[in-house]
Amino acid sequence: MVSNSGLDLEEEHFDENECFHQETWEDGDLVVKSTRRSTRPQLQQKESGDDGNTMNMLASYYGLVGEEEATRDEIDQADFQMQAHVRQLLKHDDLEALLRRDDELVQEVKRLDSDMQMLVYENYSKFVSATDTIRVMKNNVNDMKAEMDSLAKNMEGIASRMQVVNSFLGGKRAKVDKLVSVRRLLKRLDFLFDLPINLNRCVQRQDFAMAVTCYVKTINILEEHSHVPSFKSIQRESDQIMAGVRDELQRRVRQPTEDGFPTSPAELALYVRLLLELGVPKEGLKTQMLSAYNARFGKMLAALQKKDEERRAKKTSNGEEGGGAGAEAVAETVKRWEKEFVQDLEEALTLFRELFPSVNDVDDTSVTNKSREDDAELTELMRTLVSRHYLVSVRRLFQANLALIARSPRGDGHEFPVLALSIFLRVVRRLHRAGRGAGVLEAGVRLVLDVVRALVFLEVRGLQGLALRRLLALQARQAASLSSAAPSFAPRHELETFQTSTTRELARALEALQGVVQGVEEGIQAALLEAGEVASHASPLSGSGMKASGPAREGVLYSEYLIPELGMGQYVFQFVAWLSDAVERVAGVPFRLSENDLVEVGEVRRSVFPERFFAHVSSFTSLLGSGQVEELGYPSSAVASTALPQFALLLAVLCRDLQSTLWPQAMATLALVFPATMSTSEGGNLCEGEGNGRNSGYVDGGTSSTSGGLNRLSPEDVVACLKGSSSRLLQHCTETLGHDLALLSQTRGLDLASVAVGALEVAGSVGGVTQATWGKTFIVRMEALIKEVGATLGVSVTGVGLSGGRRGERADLSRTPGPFSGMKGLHLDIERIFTAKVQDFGSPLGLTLDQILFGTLKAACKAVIEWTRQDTMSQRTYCQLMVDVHLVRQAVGTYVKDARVVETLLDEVLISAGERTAADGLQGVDPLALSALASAEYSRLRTSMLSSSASSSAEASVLSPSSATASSVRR
Amino acid sequence: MIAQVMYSGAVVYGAKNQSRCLAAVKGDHEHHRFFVGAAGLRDYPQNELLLLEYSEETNKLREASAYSHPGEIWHISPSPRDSSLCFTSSTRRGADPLCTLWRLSLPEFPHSPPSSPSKDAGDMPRSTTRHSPTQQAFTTSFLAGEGAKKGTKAQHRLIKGSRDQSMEPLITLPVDNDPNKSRGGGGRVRCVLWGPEQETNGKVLAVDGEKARLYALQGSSDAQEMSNFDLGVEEKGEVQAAAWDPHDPWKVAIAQGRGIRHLDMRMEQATGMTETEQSSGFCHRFGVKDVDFNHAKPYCFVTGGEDRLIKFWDIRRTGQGPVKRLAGHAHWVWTVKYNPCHDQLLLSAGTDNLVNLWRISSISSAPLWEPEEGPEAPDVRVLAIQDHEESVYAVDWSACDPFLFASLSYDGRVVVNAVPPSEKYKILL
Repeated sequence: MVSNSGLDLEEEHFDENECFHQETWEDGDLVVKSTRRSTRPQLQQKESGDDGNTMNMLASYYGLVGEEEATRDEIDQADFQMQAHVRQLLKHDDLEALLRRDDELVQEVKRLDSDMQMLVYENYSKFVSATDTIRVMKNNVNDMKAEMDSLAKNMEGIASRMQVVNSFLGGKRAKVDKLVSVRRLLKRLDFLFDLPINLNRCVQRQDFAMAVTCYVKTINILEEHSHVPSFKSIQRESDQIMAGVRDELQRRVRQPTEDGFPTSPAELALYVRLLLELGVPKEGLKTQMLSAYNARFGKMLAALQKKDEERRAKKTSNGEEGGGAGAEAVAETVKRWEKEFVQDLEEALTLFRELFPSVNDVDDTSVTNKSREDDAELTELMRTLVSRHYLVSVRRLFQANLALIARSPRGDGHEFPVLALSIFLRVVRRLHRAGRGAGVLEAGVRLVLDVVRALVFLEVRGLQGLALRRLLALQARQAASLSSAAPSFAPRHELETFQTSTTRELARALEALQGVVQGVEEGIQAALLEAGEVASHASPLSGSGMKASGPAREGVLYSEYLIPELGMGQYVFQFVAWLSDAVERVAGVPFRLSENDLVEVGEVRRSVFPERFFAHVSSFTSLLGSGQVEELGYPSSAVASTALPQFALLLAVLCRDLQSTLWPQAMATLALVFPATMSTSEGGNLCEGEGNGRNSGYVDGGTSSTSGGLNRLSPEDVVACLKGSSSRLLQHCTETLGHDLALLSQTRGLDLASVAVGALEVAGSVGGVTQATWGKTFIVRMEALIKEVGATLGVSVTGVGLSGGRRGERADLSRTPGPFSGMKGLHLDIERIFTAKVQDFGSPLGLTLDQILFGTLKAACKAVIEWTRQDTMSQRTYCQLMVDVHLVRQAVGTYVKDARVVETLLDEVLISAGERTAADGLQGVDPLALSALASAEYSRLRTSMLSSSASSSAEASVLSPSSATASSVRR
Repeated sequence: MIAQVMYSGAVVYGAKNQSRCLAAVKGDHEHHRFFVGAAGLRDYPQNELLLLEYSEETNKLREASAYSHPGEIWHISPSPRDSSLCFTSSTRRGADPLCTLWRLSLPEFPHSPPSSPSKDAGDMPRSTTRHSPTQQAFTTSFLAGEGAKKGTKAQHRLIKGSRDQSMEPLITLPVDNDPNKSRGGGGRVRCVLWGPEQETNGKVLAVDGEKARLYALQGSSDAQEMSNFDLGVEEKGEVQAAAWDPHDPWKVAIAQGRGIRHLDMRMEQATGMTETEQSSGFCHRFGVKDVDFNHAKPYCFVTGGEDRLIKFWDIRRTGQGPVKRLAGHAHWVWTVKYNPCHDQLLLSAGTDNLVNLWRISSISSAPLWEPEEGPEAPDVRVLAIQDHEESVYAVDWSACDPFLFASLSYDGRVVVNAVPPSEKYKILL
């Protein structure tokens, strides 16, 4: 129990110490102490409030562990109540627990005892050592006092001696100081007085730099003392000299190439720098320097060019130049020029930039509009210089090869242009580096792009020329075969040849262009990337480097100038669209029809190829240095208008086939060679569409066609072009064929009217008619036409026409033999009411044999009707017409499926003729006899046709019953 | 036989005979009157010259009078000054072709509404039925000289007191007729042109199968041939139509063969053929059908042809090809007519049974401006009139209202139509 109470005291004491510490640290914050003390009671109070009270009571009743632990913990607390604790232990714990608790407490007490003992010992030993130290210190202090006294005495001695020396030297020092200053002044004066002489000497030595340095150093002093007359005169004198120097310098800057003055850019830069130091205004100097550069480099270029021309003249006189043979030599020349000219220019630019920092290099705050303008001057100069350099050097390369390129669109001569362009781009990059955003890059890239475009143009033009020549050759061959009736002309084969060769050439051209584009593109990319680095804060190019966004200059350049019509896709599209135009022109179809209006083919060509495209052509060719680009040899419209309708048909088929073969193949090649053309998202390709945020590419034809005044084509446009051409050509063909057929009736009719007056008496004649006349020719022509059309379409014609052996289904039906006896019957009126009121004689037809024949027959019949209506005929002519019409009518069923329409038209011919015949009409003539005559004629004709074609197409007619033929014809 | 039917906005009249020519009565600026000439070969001698009158109040087209005409009428050319004078060109079987100036006795315009609607409703427009005996009886009786007309209309008019619808031949122009030379009507006069009003007052040009002859009319009784021009038909093709340049009293354009011949009547002979279209040697493939001058814009004329196209030309620049082309027909364009007052409007008709009304503003004397359609109003086809069931050979603008026009198809159907008000206001405002 005693130990317990002692412990309690100890604890109390420690706790109080702790609290004291806290108090001192917290500087009198007494609340801290109280909080610590009151934490638990507060907590307890909180717990015992409300429900907590009952909880506690219950807990204590059941003797919960928490209560005991809490009390056990409190053994270390200050308000520990020993008695209560013991009571509690005795009350709740069993004997064993009590014993264990006792042991614990005893051990704890022992541990605490030993701890305390140790503390006491430690403190005691420290105290002992401290006492020892204090004793030693006491002894040392006693010795020190004597030493200090002697030191003080010595110091006093030193001080007194110092005073003596000082007083002795005092007067002399002031004198020396004065002397020194006087000497310095004298020296300076000496320099000043000698200044004019020195300056003159420097001027004589041409050492302007020294002169300027001296002058600049002294001028301020002279200015300061200008009230002294002698100084004033010196100043005046030296000013005069320096004015002379300035004039001399400016003269040299202004006319650096005269009188053998040294004119290297370095010296020029030196002069300019000196002038700047002399306070000459910057702007004027800049301009002067630029003009000096201009003159210098201009002369240089001119000299180079002259030299080169001389050499070339020598070469041509030696007969060496031919084709691309001299290309390597030219490349050598270009390289040499690069050394001579470009190095000089580069140096000049660097020096210039040192004197006049670029806008981009200066902080934004100091950039004024003025300096921007000056930069524009430099830009302008560089642009001219670069393009002149190009004209002299790179163009030279082209001239050597242009003939080669223009002659063959096979890309043979493209290595040299690419070489030249890459050399040129290298030059541009060097100059750009030296000039730091002086517009060199822009000018250079523009030039290069123009050249590329020109190459593309040449390629396309070459392709056009080839295609056109081939078309004309095709026309000639077909015309020859038709006139000589020698079936050496195989239309299908010819068409395929045309297509395959054109496709092949297109692909080859594309591949060749790919080489050019890639070669150049790398250079441009590198250049633009570099530009992005050099002037990154002025023109931030986006990460990819090529997909420029925002108003960056290079970005704008790239997107606005480089891209739009350089898209290879566009060139291919436009080529195909052109082809469909050209085909129409060659065939003599003079216009295309829009909804209400007609557009001439020429106009279409202009809209297909944007105005800008043609505006470029002249600049292209001048850039390339060649004379002219070969004009496309269209036949004159007079020649074209006489083109055979069969040729139109052939070309109609060609257009259809182009759409199904060449076009997809071209697209495929395009996708292969210029993959970027096909994808709209990827940047970094020359063929890419506009960059500025717009979703570029030709795919969205809506925006692209309206953008920038360029008429860009979409693939759908091209297909529409081909389709339109095809149908127009077809229409042209049927119209002309129909007209020609109709003319048959006219000429024959006239012949008969004038010749056979006494024919009425001929035996076996009906109404003076013995046989069919033009009807036979009509049928023969139709038969020939079927063969031609069939061959062109590549379909089997067996079963069509008389010689095909098919008896027309319509004719098989038991119809009235014809509208004889005038045929003004009611049923015809009814028929007319139900047929379309506005008949269509020009509707686009399907490209099938049936439709072509149908269209031709319709056009022919309609023409005959109209002619007949203006005529007045004799009875005999009428009878003749009847026989012929009936003959044709019988054959019609074998030509077309929908013979009914044609038959109705033929009936109308007879009706019209009947109306235009004398009032007595068929008086005295038996219509049935005429009909019989025609039928006999028909069967005769048929037999002869069949027998003539039997040998050639016997097996074919066996093989193809009419149903199979129908399907093949219908396709 | 008369029918007045509202037919998709158009007024339709079915003439009895096949007819090829229609012309507005140019001298009559108060009534919408049109001559229609019948051209039935077999109908001789029943061919008639009909005078049709359209009334805006009743929206009806009625036959004002009918004149018996010898032979089939190929061309009508009313005097621009005197509404009672009119040239016709005709042929008769077994006789020489005629070109005659007639004086017609004109009926008064009726002020009371014509016959009751119920009767009109019963008469449907119809195509050619020429052999109705009753009709024949009527016409015969008329030709016998009673002046009686057939059908209810005729009786109605008799009641109104317009009894003496007769015509009196004043002048017959001489016509060469060599039947062997040309087909299709021999030497008949293809067209007669009245000279423009000023200097050529009293001048008439008749173009026949061979020549163009210029006559001076003396009074209304005699015509003196002043000069004639050989047109070289053998070489250049047949004459189809002609038009007198309203801006030049000496110039005439003749549609001949595939080209246009410009005739300067001060010259001794016919001048060279102007064959246009960029040295291809023709204006229209296959042939030119009609020519008409722009009344408001000098040197400008329009042609229609067998290539389905309408082409606009400038005489000064024919070598450069047409100023403009239009395609709106499915077959030959037989006739083209500029509106005499508003050259934005053009009529065309052809053998595809179609009549087209165009607004060609861009090359007119006063291009229209439409803010919502860009700087200039586009050239459009305003109407495509499909009321005909036969080839349309003639159209003409009314002399009284520049926005009214009539067209005639081969079956005798006359359709009167008006320019839609929206278009009208576009031009007027």
